[in-house]
Amino acid sequence: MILTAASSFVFAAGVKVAVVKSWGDGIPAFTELNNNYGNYGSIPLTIDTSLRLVSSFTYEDLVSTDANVLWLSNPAGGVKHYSDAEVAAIEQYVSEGHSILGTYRVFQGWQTDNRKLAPIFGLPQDVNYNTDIVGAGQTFDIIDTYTNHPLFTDINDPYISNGYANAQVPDDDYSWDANDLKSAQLLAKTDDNRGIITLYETTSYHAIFISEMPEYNDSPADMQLLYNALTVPEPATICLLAIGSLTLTGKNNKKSIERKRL
Amino acid sequence: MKKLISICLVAGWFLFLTSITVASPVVLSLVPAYDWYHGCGPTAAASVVGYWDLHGYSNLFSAEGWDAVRLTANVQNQISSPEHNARYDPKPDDTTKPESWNSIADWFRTSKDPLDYGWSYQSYADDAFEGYANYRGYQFDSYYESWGAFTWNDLVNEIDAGNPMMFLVDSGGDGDTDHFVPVFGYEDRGSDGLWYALYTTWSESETTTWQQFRPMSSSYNWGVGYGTFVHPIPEPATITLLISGALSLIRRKNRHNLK
Repeated sequence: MILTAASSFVFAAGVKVAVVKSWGDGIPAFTELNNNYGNYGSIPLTIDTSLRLVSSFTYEDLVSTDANVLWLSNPAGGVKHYSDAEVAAIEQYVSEGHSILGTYRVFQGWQTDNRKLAPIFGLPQDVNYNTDIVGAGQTFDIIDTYTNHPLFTDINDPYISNGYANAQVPDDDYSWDANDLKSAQLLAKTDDNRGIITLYETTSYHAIFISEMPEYNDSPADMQLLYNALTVPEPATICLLAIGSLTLTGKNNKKSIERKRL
Repeated sequence: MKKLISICLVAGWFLFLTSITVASPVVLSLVPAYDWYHGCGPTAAASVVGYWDLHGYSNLFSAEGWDAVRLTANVQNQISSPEHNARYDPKPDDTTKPESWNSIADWFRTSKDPLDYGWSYQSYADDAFEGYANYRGYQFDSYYESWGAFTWNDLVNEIDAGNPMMFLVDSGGDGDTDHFVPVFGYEDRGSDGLWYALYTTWSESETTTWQQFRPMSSSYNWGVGYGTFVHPIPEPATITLLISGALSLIRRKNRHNLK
């Protein structure tokens, strides 16, 4: 409840999303979410793709986007290697209160090792990642404790994704097991543990990782999930609202007392 | 005298043993080795194509001669062209980039969705040889057989006929195919089993590797899943030459018989 209020309070002016150093052309989801965000929620969404196909970027480039959320859309799948300086730039930017979304092959592809990004998502850096064909129409069961999480607003349980038919998986057994999650919380998963949605929360930012690529097509359920993922409020906002809420509760109590006195 | 007899007996026994357990390996020469380049399928196929380039089909690669052919830098674009790589290296494929039909990987459909980077289907192996050869101005006939239909005798016949093959094998020993390799020799080691000669495609400077000719299994590596046959179809001019040669041979024989 607090989260919903926070999102409408803080993001009334809208959420700016910067897609950073990601996979190549041909994604309809960016256009769909930019043009028709109103179909998925009341918070305006702007997706800036100016850094999407760059060969390199700096912290200053991230700042210049003024983005609330960074989106790493399948960078390793696009053969986009993140340098140490770029990983550091991402770390710095998110630590300043900006959230991050990673989809599909974020950490590793055949030719591209971006595992240094994994700790930003609360996931282990010291394992090898691979991909596996999982087929279209992947069915994600939402973990019971998270069914009311804002990420799943207007999402059916189970959530059926019609994105790209492959998933990023740990290379040892092609399955996201408990020890593969490290500090991230598991929010939803497919039966075979290849498709997962995780959340990693710190005091300054949160990171959502989706092991599949819902943005590949623009099916309504996938667009809704991505809209939600991009508009989940930042932790600082939640704290701010929680304090506001407590203050408000305190005032109400005071009023009650005063009323009693009257 | 006794000593001499016993030496002779030992030597004879040794010769007998070697004659029944060890047959000389048969290995085709001038099969170039290539380091893995954008897929084991097109890399393995390139060794077979490279062999034929050095055996009368000199336009299969733009490089000429052994030294030039064996340099990967000279042939990598023909294994997998820059255009192919730009479109199919990214996952998913970058379909905004144009399709190309100028390298082995194009006909092999290497890395094409839903395949991951570097993977190829066995079912396109014959297309890879025939399509690429046709693009370079030659006619090749290619087909494949799975283990069972494909036998040791098939391999022996192909190598004896001077035709290198391509195998799809289980290099990881998990019972599933995972690697294409060029195959260019065989050896019957008697009680030690039947062996085939291959390149792993994991180094350009590699020498011949020998693996046992047996089906795939989760108990050992390098089991054989499929064998792909590759036969150049002689050009009409070559056929005419062969026929005229054969005719003159018959005439000579006839003349000889008449005498």
